[in-house]
Amino acid sequence: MSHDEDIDARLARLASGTAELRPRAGFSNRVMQRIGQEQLGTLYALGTPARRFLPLGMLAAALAMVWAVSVSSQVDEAMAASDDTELSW
Amino acid sequence: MDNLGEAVERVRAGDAAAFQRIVDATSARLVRLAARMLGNVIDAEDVVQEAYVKAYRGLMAGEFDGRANVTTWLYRIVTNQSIDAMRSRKRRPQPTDLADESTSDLASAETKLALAELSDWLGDLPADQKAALVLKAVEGLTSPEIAEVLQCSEGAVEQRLVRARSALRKRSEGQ
Repeated sequence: MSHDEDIDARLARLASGTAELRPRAGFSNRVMQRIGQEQLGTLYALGTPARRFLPLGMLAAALAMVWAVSVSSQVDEAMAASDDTELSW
Repeated sequence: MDNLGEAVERVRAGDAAAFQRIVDATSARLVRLAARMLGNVIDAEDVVQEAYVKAYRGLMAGEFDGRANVTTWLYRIVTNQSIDAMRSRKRRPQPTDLADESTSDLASAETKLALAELSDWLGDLPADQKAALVLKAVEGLTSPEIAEVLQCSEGAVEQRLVRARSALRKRSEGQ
């Protein structure tokens, strides 16, 4: 028997001897949990660029609020003025 | 394409639960492959878990083009991760007790002994030669399949096999 045949025979024996190797119980669930974390990470990463615009958004919201209050006051004043107006024919 | 093609399409469409089918169908084989290269099941599980994460990212990023079947593609990822782990281990040698608890709850004494013998025997081979030899002589892949997994030419596969056998022969002659 040549050395290569010795090597092949030993490898074949060890292949057969390790054929029963399996992951431990719950491995599949652990992988899917990790995939779940990966999904959350992806969502978080997608949210990151949006968060950069958050201060700008807050400023825009504040300005819109000021504008809305100011317009509302003008309308109130106009309504009050119209209540005082006497119609003359 | 293997029969996991439908699961792959569902994952790509955003159904992450379909990935479970791929894991269930391939995990035993992939953990066995990694354990044969790394010498224990716990390290093998870590490598395979990270390989699945990489595969999931790859599917979502459209990196899997479907030319190879999914199992071959996963084999490639696990083999590369195992080679990286072997090289990293050589840079930072860690004490390993091959008869540790990593396989105690899932393998017979004969299996543990066989894994320890395989790991000890092939332990000194360079990672790429060891991977080629395990894929060929233990996993039973053909040279073209190994070339696809290792992403090299068939000639390069044959060269690694010749070198690996030569190193093992020299070692047995020296004993």
